[in-house]
Amino acid sequence: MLMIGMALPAIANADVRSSPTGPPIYIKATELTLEDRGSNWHGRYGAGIALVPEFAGSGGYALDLDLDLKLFWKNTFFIENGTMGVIAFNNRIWRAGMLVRGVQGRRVRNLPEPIKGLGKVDARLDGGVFVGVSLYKTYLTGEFFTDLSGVTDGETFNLETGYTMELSRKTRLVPYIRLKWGSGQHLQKFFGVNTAQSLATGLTPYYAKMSLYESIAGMVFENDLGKNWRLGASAHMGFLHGAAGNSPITRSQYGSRGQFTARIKLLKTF
Amino acid sequence: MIGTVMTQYKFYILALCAGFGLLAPSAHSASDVTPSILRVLTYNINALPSPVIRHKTARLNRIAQILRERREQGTQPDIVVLQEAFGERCNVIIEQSGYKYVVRGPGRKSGRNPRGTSWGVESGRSYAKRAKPQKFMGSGLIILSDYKITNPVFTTFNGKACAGLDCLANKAIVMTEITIPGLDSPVKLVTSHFNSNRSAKAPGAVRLRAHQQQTDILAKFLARTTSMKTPLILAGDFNTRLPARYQYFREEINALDAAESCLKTGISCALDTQTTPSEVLYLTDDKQFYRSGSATLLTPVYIERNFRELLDGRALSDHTGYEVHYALDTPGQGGK
Repeated sequence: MLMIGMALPAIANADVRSSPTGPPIYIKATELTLEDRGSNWHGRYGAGIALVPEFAGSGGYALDLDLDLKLFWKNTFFIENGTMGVIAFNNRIWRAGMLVRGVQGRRVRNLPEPIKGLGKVDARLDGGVFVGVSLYKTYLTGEFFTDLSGVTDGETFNLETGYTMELSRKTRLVPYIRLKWGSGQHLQKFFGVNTAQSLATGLTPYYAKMSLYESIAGMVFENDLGKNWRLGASAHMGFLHGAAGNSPITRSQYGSRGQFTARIKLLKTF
Repeated sequence: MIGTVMTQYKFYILALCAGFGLLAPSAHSASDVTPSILRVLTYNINALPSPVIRHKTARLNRIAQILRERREQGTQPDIVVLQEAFGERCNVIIEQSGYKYVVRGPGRKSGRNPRGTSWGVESGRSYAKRAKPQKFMGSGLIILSDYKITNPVFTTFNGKACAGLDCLANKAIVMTEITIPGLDSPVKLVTSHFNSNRSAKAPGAVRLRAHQQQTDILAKFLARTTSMKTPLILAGDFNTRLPARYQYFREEINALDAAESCLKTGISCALDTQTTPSEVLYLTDDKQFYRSGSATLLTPVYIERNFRELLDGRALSDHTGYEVHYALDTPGQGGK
């Protein structure tokens, strides 16, 4: 190999400029699409088990079947685990939309015998709005709901932020924190004790006021099992405070301010 | 005419071999003459947006000045491909270097950007989270040419073919045809900026998979836009310093490594005296690959890592330029 200290001069073309003269000619590149246009539909379905508190403020836990379904059309209309909605605004940073959701109430059969007199709270239909802000792997979402079904006639607001950590090519972990706020009507339904309930259960009468009632720290773990299969697991620990934390239900021997939830499920994406 | 020019060129090589720096051909000749040498520079100019890198303007001005000075000397690269040319500040290179034809790679919003990221999580509520990678910057690619550019096309890397912070740029592949006087078919020039390695701040396996996916996309892109009949030059920041990346790239991309060819051909190819073989072979992310066409032979005859100077104690970029001179030979057109 030869090492030389000067560039080989070339025979240039007469069309080539010897000095910067005149503006350059910009030529616009056109896109070449290599992949077929994807389907308008995407989503996931799956099943697993969940360990959840037996009722709001409970110190006991129940093992439940955990079914999972997500269906998106054109990244606009969606159904996701009992929530249905539309993404009305969507740009690089944030998205916002409207949604309705069905929410389970309180089942008498989940209540310990001495406090069955609290009675059931019917399942309800919430309507609400959401706003989500994403920045790289960090997200912040806020959701506001109001009860449309007349079960609680209350409002709730959830604020959640998390960060996705890529542990390896196949595994991801999302630690997050969530704050929950509830109106007086909402909290009264789940954490209040009216006179009749007090007489039936022996719990002190209690009237809940609106408050920031739960702080949650949790994490979601996901592992790719194949191109379209994932193992999902999540766990979170909530701490009841405010009106929920001071409730006689929470403070009773059947209640707890700590609310733990764990889920594990197998998901198929499409 | 071509034969005459090539004879001059071969004589020039022979003269150099003999230790004589003589017989430099004239800087200009008739417009229908095929140039004997095609000089291609790839340079990652590290013009990340402020405030990531400040005080960049002076360095960009200096890069433009160097290219302008080389033009005045008649030794400028015929084709320049730039990476990380983000923002308006880079216009100084376009406007002052004197190149007649310019192609910009796709901007932030250009191209399809399919759903999915390498860090996408399915569990939990997903409707409030963005499903596509956010693009805060364009591709950062610019092609400058003295020769006429036609039919530029691009494709962007899809959502999952990126890793870490690199996903914030709309990275892409750009191909253009360079019409060189006297050649039957244009030279196809392809440039790209592949996923970085450690600076992407993602797990190694994720980075490697993203790089391999980008290589697959490039292979598909080449299959759609090029043929074995037309000469091809791939010049860019392919981020192939990691052996696993380089090996996969070489297996999937049907083109020769200009540095390997240069160092194998012995006396017919030269390195600049400041340039070491490792700088052009494997200890580099900037590379050039090439493929001759059926009517036009490309042969690397000179390679140089340039733009090494310091400005106020700082390098002009975190990369150096990678310039290859290709001898153009048209065996079937000897009498043209």
